Amino acid sequence: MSCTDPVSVRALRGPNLWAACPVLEVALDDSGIAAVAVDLQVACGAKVSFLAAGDGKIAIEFEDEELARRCLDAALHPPADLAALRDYAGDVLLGPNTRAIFDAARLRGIPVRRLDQGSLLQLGYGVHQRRMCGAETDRTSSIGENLGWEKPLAKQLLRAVGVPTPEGRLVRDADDACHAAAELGGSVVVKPEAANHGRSVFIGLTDPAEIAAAYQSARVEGEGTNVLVERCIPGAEHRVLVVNHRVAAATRGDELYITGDGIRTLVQFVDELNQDPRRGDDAEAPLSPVGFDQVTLAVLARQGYQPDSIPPAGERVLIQRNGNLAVDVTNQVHPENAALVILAARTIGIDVAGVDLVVENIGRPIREQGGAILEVNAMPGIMMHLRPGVGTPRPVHEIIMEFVFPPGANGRIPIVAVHAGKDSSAIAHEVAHRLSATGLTVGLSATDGTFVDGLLTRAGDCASSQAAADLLLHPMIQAAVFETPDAAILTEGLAFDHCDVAIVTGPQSAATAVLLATLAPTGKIVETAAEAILALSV
Amino acid sequence: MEIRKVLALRGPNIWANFPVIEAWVDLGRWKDSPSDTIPGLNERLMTWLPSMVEHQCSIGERGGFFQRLREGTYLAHILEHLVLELETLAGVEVSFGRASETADEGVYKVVFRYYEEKLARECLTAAQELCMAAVLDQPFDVPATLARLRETAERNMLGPSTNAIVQAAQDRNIPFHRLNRHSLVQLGYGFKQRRIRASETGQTGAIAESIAQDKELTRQLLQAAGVPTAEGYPVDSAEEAWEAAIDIGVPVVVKPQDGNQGRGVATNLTTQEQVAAAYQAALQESDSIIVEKFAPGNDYRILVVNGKVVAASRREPAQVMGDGEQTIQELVDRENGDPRRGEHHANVLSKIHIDEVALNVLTDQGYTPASVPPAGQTVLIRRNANLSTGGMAIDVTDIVHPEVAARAIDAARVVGLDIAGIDIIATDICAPLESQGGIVVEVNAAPGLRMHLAPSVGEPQDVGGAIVDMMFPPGENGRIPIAAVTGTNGKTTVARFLAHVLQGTGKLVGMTCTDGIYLNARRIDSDDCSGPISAGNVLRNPNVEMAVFETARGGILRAGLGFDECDVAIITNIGDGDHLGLSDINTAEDLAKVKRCIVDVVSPGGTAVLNASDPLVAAMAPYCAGSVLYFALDPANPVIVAHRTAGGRAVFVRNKTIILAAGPSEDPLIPLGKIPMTFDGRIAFEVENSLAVLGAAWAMGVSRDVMIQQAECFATDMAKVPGRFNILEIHGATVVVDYGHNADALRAIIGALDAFPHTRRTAMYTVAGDRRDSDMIHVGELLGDAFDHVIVYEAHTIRGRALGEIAQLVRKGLTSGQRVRVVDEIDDTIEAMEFALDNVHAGELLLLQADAIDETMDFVRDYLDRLHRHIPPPHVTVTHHEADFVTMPAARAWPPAVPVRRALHHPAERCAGVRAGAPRGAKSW
Repeated sequence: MSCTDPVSVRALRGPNLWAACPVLEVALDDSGIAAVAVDLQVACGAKVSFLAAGDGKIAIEFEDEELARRCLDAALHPPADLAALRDYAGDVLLGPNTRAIFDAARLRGIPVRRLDQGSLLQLGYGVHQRRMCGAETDRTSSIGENLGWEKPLAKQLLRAVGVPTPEGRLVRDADDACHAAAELGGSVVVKPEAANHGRSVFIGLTDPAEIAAAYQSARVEGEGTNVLVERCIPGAEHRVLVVNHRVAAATRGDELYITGDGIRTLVQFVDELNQDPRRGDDAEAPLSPVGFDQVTLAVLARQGYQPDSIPPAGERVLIQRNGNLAVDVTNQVHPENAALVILAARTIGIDVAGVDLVVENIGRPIREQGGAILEVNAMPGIMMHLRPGVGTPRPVHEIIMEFVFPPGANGRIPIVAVHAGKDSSAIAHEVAHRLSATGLTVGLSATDGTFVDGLLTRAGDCASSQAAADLLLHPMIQAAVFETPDAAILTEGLAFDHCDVAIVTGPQSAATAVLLATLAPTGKIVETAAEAILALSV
Repeated sequence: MEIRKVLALRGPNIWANFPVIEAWVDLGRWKDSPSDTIPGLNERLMTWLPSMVEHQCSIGERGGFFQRLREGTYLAHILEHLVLELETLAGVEVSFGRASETADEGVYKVVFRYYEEKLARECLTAAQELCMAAVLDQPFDVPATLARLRETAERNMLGPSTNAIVQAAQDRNIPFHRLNRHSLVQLGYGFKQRRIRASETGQTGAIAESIAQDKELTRQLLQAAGVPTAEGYPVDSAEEAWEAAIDIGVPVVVKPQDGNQGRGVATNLTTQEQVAAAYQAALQESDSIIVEKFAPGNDYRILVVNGKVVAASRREPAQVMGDGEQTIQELVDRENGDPRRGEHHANVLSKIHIDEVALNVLTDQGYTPASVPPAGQTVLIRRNANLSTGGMAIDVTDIVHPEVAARAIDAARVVGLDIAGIDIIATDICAPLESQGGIVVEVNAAPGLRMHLAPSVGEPQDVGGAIVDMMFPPGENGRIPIAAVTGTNGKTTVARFLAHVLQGTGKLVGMTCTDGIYLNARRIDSDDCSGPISAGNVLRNPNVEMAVFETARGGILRAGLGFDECDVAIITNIGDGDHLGLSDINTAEDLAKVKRCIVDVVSPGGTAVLNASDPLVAAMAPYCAGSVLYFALDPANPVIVAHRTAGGRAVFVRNKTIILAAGPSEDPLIPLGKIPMTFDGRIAFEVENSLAVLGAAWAMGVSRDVMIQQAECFATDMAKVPGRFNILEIHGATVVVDYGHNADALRAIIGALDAFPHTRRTAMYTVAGDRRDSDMIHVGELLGDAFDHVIVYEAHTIRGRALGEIAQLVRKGLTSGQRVRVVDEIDDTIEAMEFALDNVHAGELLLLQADAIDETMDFVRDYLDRLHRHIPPPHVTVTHHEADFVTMPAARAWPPAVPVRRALHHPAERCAGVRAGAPRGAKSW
């Protein structure tokens, strides 16, 4: 681990003496260090703000524990290597899509925690828990996802149910690409079979030399995947987000043009475009930076330009055919088109699907205009809908959350916290026993172990927040009873943000206050097991 | 011998209710050479494929086919048996074949059952080559051919896991359809469909699969849920691996964090060298490696389906037993000689390979492949017990301790898998894990089912059945109501009308017909969609709740039906038939057998809706596994009377009202006057069509109210049923637009027009070029008797005829007509329509044949549009025959309408390949 400093650092992963958020508690009387550690985290993209000092200690909020430790380390030993920290943050912090889902859960009061260093989230507790990974849900079919990637089969299934798709086929080599184009007639699209986000997608080609060149680029940039030649469908690329058989949002990708002034080169124009604050490399930015990749070079070449060309004044020059500004068109989607994309998502078998299609006007039926559905993607990105370049942002993260947790559900199970000194264990067992008697599957973490429905599942002292947190992962429990001694609260923070009943007896401490702060608005403070059962059944 | 064409009849067909290949084989110069006349042929065949002795053939006993060979049989029949034998020897046992001569002498249809098309086609080619080699006394490499065919079979047949599920589905009469060449299969139809891919279902979550792939996360989740697991953690180097081993305590296991099928897993490691070597080997499979405490005991696999333990096996690693004489390599080779051992997953067991992992395992035991282990000494070739690396499986399903089962179920639930293979290490599966230090090692998504289906020792378990039961609860067979419609005339109208009635139930109805595919009112295809591919597409559609299929003869003959069973089969009529002379269908009786295919597949709870007034249709009743409902205009129709006496159902007309009759009771449903399509009952064929539709709707359980409501609003206007007796008024004349294109349809139309008051009548008509000459002349005769003025044109459908030939034949028929006075001949359809409409006068009647429906409808709309805008029509060239018509020679006697089918040179062969008798679903012609 990176933190080799002798100062003692303790991670309080839940509500604690300092705050309700997770903090690193450092035995150091230097609020300046705390401020720097928080600033460094913020500079790395972490959503943290809390810091405090007192009692010869400082507390700094963290989002990712290890990132916070590294930032603290950097604050203690300047100068900080911000690039290295950012690099690390890029690996461990939530990506924008998953963060949006995370925030949507929080907004609904649904408890959410990360299960791995990637994007896997657990929402809710025990029997009500669900899992998500970005916009992918635990009901997203594996077969469906694989079908989405297997383009020829996906197209065949879509066509069978009457969803228009572009004609075309996989090609073996550049010659075959030209043959395929000739079979199709007219202009074609050349792209890697596993193309994403418009990379290496060459649109509107007719000349065999261009097609052969596009084949080579697609082959290289597609990392050796197969190359597809398809009929070029007239119109703009659209992305429609389908959530549980409903259209949640739609955006149109616009073409990017510049207008020449007879002075500036295309490189200069592109540099200026990249000054736009909406353009950035990170996935959160609504627009990607413009670069001179193979596709752009090909687009320019067909207009007779190179990057250093100076287009004449007033001349409109096409820079990108797709993947530019996302324009929200949710309200314009024709009902017939909505039915079609919903059918496409259902046919492939994906509950939250990003459907890509090309059509001139999404407000008129696709079939009428010779438009086509290009692909159905699982785990769709949602930033383009949350932050479209133009138009109304669509709260699709909330729509997805409503699909996973219908209105009124918050994924919680009743939690009883027992804070009763030396009587805690006996009381906790009694509560668990009585709750079990009502027919619930009850999890209990106590001094003598973890129990599910009275059966020991982990031996040893489990009156800890770690044991409680583990128990909340259990997919069967319908209610939980935790011993929450002072030590657990002071050294770990609580494992939950809400409890329904707190059994508190004996002397009160600062830790007791932390526990009571988590009591739900309808929650009760009681002194005996019998009262606790009564409080829960009301 | 030449194979002229090969048809894969992929659904129920004229030969059988299961898929068959129909090969048209021209014996050429061998057509008159039975087997006994070709020296040495029989001996060569019997030597090359001695197992054909099992073929009973028509003799009905072992050796039957060999007896037929000796007595002398024809090469087509021999070819049939060769194909069946090759399919069987390739590993796919089939026992249904037919060989029958066509009307073309020496050309036979050789028919045989198949399960996989690519294999079947290869077997056919191989059988032909083998047959000719035997005939010509040339060498033929039988073993090499069989090896090639077996490989094709292994590559293309479903794997054992998928196959077990498909078989279980079939046992429950759930239909299946392979979606690709691999293991992706659709079970069920329409909105009830589910998918599987090996032991993965459409419900198997992608997130759960990725959790199962991540062994470290799985372990954390299992621990959190109180499932015993091995202590351990991920490591980043061989040194760290050894540190971890010391920390945890040896012996340890080293394995990839996201491995599969035991690849890269090394167990029971105690030394630093072993750990380091295992670390390097594991790196071949993954970047992230875990070190875990080694738990001693046996390897068990528990299969959890839908929260229940359905099977359990003890697994043993690949091993051989020394005999003190042979080397380990020799012992392995001998073991691999076991016919149950195959490559990959296709067989019960897999072959044992001495690869790098195996060499390490041998080294650890102090051996090399060349060592000769002492007699009785067990030598491990692998430490992991996976079947795919040569392991064995012993079924222990019945002895799993309930606590162990509960942990396995928890493990599947924690990861979130509907089907999971839980790997457990325990000394004794009959005792709780906790009592013996047993652990759950891994949770596998898409677990192999082979070890449970065909354990090396113990009882096979019905795991396929358990999986199907999860996807389709008891009583659910994944089917949606299907109505199939066929007949010579009226089938498109009936299909459309029935779909319209069914939509009244609020369900999404998929309908295929000659005009395209419709999902309720939405048309998603505009080609001729009366074939099996279109029907299949509707059944693939996840929104469709009911289906109506117009089922044309062409599709049935070319590829079989697009569905394996239907709830209702409607046969409108056969009459004199249509399209006779094509595809070896030469008589109305032949045609009836083709159309009967949909009656043959009516489900036991279903209904055949049959025209009682058409003898060929009424005669289909005995072939229906369900009940029969007859329809006819006349309540006194003897077939209906007899059927009702026996308690059967019928639909007919009494007092201008459609009656639903069940046995003696009669329920007056709706007066004809309320069904616009029948023009107050004046158009007899539309009344018959209505009877068929309402009979079918009744059989499908549609309520009276819905039937009445939908019948009242079904109109034959151009928008709803284009080209089906649409009536328009143009220039004050009554114009009837109809698609009918054969003698029966024309006769029906003429009958309907009888109800019209018009005195002067004109018809614009043609016949498609693939009809027989006699049919064309007959159409001419009918036209000549019913119309004053006939405009003969030639459409796109001259189908190989010379220009002018069709018109000439029709004109021949016209000469015998009693009524016709004027005949015009125009080459082009559009010009003919233009001419006909321009020359019709107020008060007259014009029959306009809509040869190509969309084109005709577009033209008529355009014509009406121009009429409103007063745009002059284009110039039309007409060949007018008024003058010379009367001078044409009088009608002569024409060749008989149906050519006499030549007596079969060789009678049709009906024989079963291996087993006696025909399999279920086989038909006799």
